[in-house]
Amino acid sequence: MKKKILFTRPRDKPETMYLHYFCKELIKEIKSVGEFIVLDLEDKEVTRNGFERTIKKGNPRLIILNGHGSKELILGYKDDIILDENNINLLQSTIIYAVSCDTLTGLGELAIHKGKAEAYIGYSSRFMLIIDPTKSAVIQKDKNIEPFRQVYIRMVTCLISGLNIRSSIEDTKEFIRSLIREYGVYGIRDKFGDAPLIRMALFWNMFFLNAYGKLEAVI
Amino acid sequence: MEQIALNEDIRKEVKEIVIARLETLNKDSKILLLGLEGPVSVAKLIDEVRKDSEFGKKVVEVQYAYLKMLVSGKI
Repeated sequence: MKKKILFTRPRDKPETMYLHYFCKELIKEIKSVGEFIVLDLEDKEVTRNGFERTIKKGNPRLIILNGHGSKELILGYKDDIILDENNINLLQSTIIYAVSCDTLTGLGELAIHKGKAEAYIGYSSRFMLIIDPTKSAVIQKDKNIEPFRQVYIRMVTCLISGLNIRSSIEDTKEFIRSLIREYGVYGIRDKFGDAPLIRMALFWNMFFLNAYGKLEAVI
Repeated sequence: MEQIALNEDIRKEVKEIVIARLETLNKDSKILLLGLEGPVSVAKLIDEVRKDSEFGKKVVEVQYAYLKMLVSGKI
């Protein structure tokens, strides 16, 4: 029986618009390989009701949450709270990757101890993206965003390739280090001077990326 | 990742280094944050560091970790 991956990806704010873009090709690729079934909650579908219904009906193994967050909650479309302490039990026996600010410390711990999730990967501080504001109308042309997209794809690819949580995080952090090195010699091609800022944000995200739960678990 | 606890004297020195580093960046670049607040500019980031907000203190600590890693050759 094929395992299921749930993506939540609202697109109602600039920040979520970029995460939505990160998932786009990835979801297409996962679907084309056919090893997993993708449950794709997009835009207006990312409500608390939609989220709860999809988990109960679809029983996903991996849940990838894209959206604004805090220590207590994760938001969906138009600031609808899709996950908090009151529905944390829905995460039982799942692995979560939350691309959101601050959720690891708080919601992540709660997901393991109260929600009985198997593992929760997330960030214990803000999650940063560096953008080129002049390209916000055509984000595919925004070169600043590319390393962040690559890191996102790397993490998900590690998880669905069968690496355990610990190895997926280690591999992704090593990948981030390689990007930081690459952007360290990028200055000569960086006419807007954004490479140092990109390095700073990559390191920031690496610093706060971690997980709770069974770190030997695999999808 | 190792969490950093800086003593006050070192923190002040590191803070000045971090501000100097941040001032070399493109001040109009936008940093998007997936928290409950909106985007911030580099200028705003510098301001957060200067006024020692919680976020600003974290920026100093993480930049210190970054510099240590650069010096150690681990990156």
